[in-house]
Amino acid sequence: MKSKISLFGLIVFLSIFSFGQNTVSPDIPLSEFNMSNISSPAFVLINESPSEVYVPENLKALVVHSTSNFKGGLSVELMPYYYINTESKDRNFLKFVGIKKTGERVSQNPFSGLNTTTISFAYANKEFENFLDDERKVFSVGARTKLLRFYNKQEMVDYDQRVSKILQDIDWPPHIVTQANEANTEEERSKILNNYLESDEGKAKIGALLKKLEIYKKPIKPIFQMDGAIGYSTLFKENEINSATVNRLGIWLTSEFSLILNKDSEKSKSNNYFNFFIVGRYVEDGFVNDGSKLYYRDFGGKIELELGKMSFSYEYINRYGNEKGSRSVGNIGLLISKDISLIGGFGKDFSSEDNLIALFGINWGVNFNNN
Amino acid sequence: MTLFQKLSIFLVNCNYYKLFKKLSMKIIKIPKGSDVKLQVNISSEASVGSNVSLDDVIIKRSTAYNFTKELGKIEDLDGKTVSGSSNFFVNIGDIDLIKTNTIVEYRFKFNEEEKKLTCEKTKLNGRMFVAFFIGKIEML
Repeated sequence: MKSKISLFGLIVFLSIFSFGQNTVSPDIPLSEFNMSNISSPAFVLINESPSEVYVPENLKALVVHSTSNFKGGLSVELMPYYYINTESKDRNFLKFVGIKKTGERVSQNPFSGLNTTTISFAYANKEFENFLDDERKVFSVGARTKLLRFYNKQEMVDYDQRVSKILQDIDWPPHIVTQANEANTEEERSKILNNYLESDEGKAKIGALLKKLEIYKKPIKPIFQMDGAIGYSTLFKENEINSATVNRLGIWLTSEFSLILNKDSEKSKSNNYFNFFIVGRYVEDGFVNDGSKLYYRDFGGKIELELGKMSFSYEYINRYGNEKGSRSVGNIGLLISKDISLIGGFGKDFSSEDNLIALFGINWGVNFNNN
Repeated sequence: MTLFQKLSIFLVNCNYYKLFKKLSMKIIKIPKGSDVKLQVNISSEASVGSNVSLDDVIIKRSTAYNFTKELGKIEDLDGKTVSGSSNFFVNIGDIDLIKTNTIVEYRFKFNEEEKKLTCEKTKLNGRMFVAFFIGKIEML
């Protein structure tokens, strides 16, 4: 209970902190940039940042989103997979990534990424450029999933076997197991085991095995994946429940090809990738003053150099529909920890006027199942 | 670290070990004349490797999620300490969620009966967690 209260306090603190960091103009047109592909669809739509969306590999059960231009609201993303069938007794690593090994035959289920489906909800009280004069409450729902995913299946089987062979050799001495077994909390057990690992005996017995595991910590990406997302938002024109509403709809499709650059390097601590994205999206925007709707379709691509925790990318997107134009943006991303990342971008947006893009944002995840 | 310090730590560890062993080690009581086997069932989205010890001697190492080890006649096992650990490594997915959904069951099977031991899961670091058990076999 105490930890949940602390967690809530942390969320509130971070939210307040983030909302105070408005480093960009509060008047953001619909098409303006936020290339945060870690954002939830609901957030992207409400945040006026329709961009490409894909499903990150380290999705958590519950994620709270915000960026610098997210004022007075909150976005929450849930992953039902981790709340459904928690008592399943036939889980394994290969099944998790959609690979089945029967004897020497290895097959792959390209739809296994559907288990990463998330649903998201967002709320904001904000002013929209060229639409009404003051702040309005806007609500949004969204979902995203990995529609297709192809790993190098034999490499994944080999990976699992190599890691498991190291793990089976890690044998904890009975006196350590006994001590840990008697501890009342996981924190105490973890401390006992980690103290042993830091002792001379632990270093001699297990240290070398843990060192062997280091190269397997590099993140593994599918060769090809296709992610899809949808978001729908509603704005109450008069800030009353029975007042008229206007809506926004966004549909995103993102395909990613990944080429690993340092496949056999044992020295580097991360896998470096050259990524190529194909991005398609459809947006219907009713947040316009004259009662009409804005429709457009975007199609474009992005190249990205992913060097461990840093990523550099450039995207070019063409827009068709009753709004036309193109966008050309360079992005930098930095993963500070596995839960916190910074994103930034600079370039030209779709519109012909005021089309300078300069943005800075932060994203974090919170896991309530962290016992 | 001096020899005296090492000796002191060793003695403290020994005392702890004896104390814990005496106070709270799980007792697995099995009838006379039984053939005993240990069945391990693991359900996890992490890669796993396990080992089983009998009186500090490793008798089985396995990379499988489900495996069985014949322990032998209860007459030969009486009074012996059996322990097992399963080590998990996470590359894809969130370690906390995967650990929460991981199920590890150690079952002692004899005659038509079985005794199930549950394992506590412990996160070691951002990529690894461990599940283990320790118990003493006694003949009825």
